[in-house]
Amino acid sequence: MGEFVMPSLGSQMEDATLIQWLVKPGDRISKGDIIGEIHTEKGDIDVEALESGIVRELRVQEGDTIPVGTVMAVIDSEKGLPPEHKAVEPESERKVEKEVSDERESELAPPRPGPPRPGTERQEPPPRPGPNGAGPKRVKASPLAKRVAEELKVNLEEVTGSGPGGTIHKKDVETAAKEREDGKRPVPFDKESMRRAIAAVMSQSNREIPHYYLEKDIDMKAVTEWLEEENSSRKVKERLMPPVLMIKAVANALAEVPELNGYWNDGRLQVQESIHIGFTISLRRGGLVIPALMNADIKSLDEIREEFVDMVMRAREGRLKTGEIGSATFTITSLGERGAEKVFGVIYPPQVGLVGFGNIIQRPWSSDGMIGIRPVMSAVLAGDHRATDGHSGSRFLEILYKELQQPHNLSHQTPVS
Amino acid sequence: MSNSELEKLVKKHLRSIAPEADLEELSPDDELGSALDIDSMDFYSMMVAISEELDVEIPEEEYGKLRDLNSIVRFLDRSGVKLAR
Amino acid sequence: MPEREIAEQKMSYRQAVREAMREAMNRDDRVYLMGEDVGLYGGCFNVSEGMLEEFGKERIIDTPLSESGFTGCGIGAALGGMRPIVEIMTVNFSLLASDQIINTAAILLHMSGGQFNVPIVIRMATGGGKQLAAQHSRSLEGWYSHIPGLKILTPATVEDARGMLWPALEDPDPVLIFENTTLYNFEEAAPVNGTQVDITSAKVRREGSHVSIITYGIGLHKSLKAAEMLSADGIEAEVIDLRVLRPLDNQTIFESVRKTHRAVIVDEGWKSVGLSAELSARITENLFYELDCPVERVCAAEVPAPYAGHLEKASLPQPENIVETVRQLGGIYG
Repeated sequence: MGEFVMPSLGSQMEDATLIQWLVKPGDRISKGDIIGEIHTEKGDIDVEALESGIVRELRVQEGDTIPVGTVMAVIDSEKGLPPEHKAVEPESERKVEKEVSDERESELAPPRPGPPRPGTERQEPPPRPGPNGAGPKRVKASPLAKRVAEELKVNLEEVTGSGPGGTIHKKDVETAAKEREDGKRPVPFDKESMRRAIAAVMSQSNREIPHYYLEKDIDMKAVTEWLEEENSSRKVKERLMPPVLMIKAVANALAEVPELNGYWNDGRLQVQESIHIGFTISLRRGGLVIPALMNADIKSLDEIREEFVDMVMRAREGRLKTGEIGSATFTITSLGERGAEKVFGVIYPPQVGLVGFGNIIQRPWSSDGMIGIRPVMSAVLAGDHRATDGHSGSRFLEILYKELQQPHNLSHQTPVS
Repeated sequence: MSNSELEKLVKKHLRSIAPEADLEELSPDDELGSALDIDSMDFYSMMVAISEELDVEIPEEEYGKLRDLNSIVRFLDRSGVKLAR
Repeated sequence: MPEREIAEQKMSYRQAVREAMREAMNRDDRVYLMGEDVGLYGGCFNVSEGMLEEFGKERIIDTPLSESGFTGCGIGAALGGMRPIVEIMTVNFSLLASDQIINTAAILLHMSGGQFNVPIVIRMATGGGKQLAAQHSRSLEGWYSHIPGLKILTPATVEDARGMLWPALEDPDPVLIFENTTLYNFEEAAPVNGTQVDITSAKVRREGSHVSIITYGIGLHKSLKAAEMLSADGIEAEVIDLRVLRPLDNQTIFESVRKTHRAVIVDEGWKSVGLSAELSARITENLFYELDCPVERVCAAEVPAPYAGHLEKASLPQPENIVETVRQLGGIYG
């Protein structure tokens, strides 16, 4: 039996609101299935099942705001349970029930099925057709709100509820009616809370992390030419773009300088074995999200391209998955196409490093004793001086430079040196 | 497909990536990135969508030159796209 | 007497009850007081102090420790034409007299086909909050208000403590008056002598438009305090003093909830199967389509009253709990 808890999507995240379940008790799920949708300060996120099995119990109601770590669902793992484990079930269930609802009276509760007897088949309700078998979302509106909505001809499904768990009350309906009259439609995207989340995490960073910055200009001639050649034989949809190469090059460089790939926790550096590259995506309506490209060091350029494009699109639609948020071990920020040539980024705690890429611009460049015009991009590394010193940072930039001089090697899955 | 039809089609895709942008104010030679605040990923997804809708390939050497409404419409016109009705 | 002069100005709840009894006894020869320690000792809560001297032992009668016995005597006296005021020390001991109250006083009129009414008034102290432990701290007025044939009064103000007794004595049927022990020392400027109040209606003690807090007894004072705290927050609570728990004054309650669309019930009794449940049911039965959020209740914790002061405080509704409950009502802000 596994418990599915509200995941943490970053050190600043304290709670999140369950928007809806996409599964119900009895449903068979596989690891990685989207089982629900939560609303966080970072936007709406799909939550993935962490194990395969059968949903036994959903403990959290749609609309509830619950702290990180709260048990949201109980999953019976696929492999079945050892018999002695089954014997303890009723007791543990009772205990939880007591914790959850202090005044719920057990004699009024409907009889629960007893523990399954060994050897007998467990009775499961038939699984729903399709992976997203949840019915239409139930609108929770007060009786008065419903009456007023009828009078004002407001569709309750389009009203944003202000009550606990998003319940709709009279004033919400009136606000919706007024907004309709004023001709402005409410934007569901919560810009303010995202701003607050960014403010909190950036303030923490600037308060706690002694940043050092190292800068290196990178000759992008090889990359540009290689991309042109590579892309000439690719369809638009399959084209590689510079960020894909940068993610790969950074991942490779981190494999060589592992001390930059980690977290500063409890006063010490915890180097992370996996390399998950977070990249900042600015949203049209303001704010930004930082999904992570997992295990970028061992992925091919095409795998990275595919995931990158998919993630950018989903980020803009507010459809990132839990595993993609808050798990980065290092971050890339890039203001690339917007005028700025250099970006001195702020490290996203508890990470210890971030690299900022500038725009690729044509610049005079000396090479082999000659001055020529080259596409040049600035790379600025921000390092946490508690975790590493300039020496590590310097090595990182040096390796990164080398990686980007041999773009054909990036399509191999192992680092150059 | 006439140029005005092509322009209409491109604008339809622009609207889907930048729904709040005022396309009436957009001049045919405005650089799309700065005029509509769309970045290369937005632009990329729009070009993928257009190329799929019209079944037209966009060669790498052309892709970089597509910066405004005019250049996109001219490119599509040159590619001889047919109106898929 | 100097006390009389005080009574005209500012008086305590205790003095108000005493003045009410003195006035009734002066007004009507049939009225007398009996109960444990009401005479020589002046009443367990000092309510009848001085009355033995004033009215004599014929009319201020110390009884043995036998609630069933003296309550039965009172019922008999009432049947015989007297207008007895029976004081039971606290509601907790009234359980010993509950057979007389419920099985005799409440039903005689009905059982006798309307021949014998029982014009008795039974006063008793109720409630917790004075660290008197579980067996002395119950609030069972809601429990008594379950019984047809009884009228249940809960004076929460000095005016009501002063004014409710006379109409109760005038009532042809049994009336139980519940005086919260924590209110005896409560002082208020009392209206002039002889004030008449009704024993049929609930009263709006504070007007507000955002939520109706429905309460009685000591809960009124906690709710008024909570309302002031909420007011600082921009929430204007209407506070309704039920005054009469049986029969409930639906009209006043419904009018208020119809206006505010929200109701919070504050009751020092237990939540389960209690008065608050009855109120909640009446509101949802009658005003479902007026409600903008679920009816909420702030009641005593479902445990026997703790003895330890901090635990007892935590087990009873406090203004902070009321404020917190109101703040979390759906749609209350904005």
